[in-house]
Amino acid sequence: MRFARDHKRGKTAYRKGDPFVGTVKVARFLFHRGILEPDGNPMDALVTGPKVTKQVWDAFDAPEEQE
Amino acid sequence: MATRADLTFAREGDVVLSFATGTPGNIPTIWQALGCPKGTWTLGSSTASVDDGLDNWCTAVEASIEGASPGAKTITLSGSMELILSDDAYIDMDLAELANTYSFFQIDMADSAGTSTKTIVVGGYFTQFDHNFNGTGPSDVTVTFRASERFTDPS
Repeated sequence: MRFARDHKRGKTAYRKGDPFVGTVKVARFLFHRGILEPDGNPMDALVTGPKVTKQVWDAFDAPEEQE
Repeated sequence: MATRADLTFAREGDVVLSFATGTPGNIPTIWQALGCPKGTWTLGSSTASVDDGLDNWCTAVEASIEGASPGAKTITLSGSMELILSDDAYIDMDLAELANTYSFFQIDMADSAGTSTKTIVVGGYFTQFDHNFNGTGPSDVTVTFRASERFTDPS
């Protein structure tokens, strides 16, 4: 995700196009207010898609280990 | 799908509360949506209205948590606030209060123009969690939270 426009977050000022570094939760808060936009990062799907209700390290659809 | 940025809100500020249990010093990754406060939110000795805007909210939150003296501070989310509790969040908070489980609140704040945002996470223990079942609705929730740590703008 990257900033879609100039934005002040806390005491830090970001310029349009600056990459967002942070958690999915905060990114979703910012995205749904038009502050962030996708930039091709793998994080984008988690931010723009349905709400994630389980730990991201659950590996989602990763194949089970073969014995 | 329209996003919040496509919509127009009459409210000046925008605040979202979340709740999670955890361990001191570690910000949780999974949160329960607690609701969006409206009207007046009493934070310790500080009172602010959403209509006052983001700056006053931040000032009130920080003043309540930090205060004039060091050490833990009590945050009171009083019944004057329309706290929209989700069922899951209510159950989690009820259990945390009963078992004295270390808990966190995350407060995401944005101004109406979306030019400024702020996130505050506070951790601590419940000292009170009451729900008045007198038929006046979910706004009659009283939470007193003894905050012992604070994170401003956690990534």
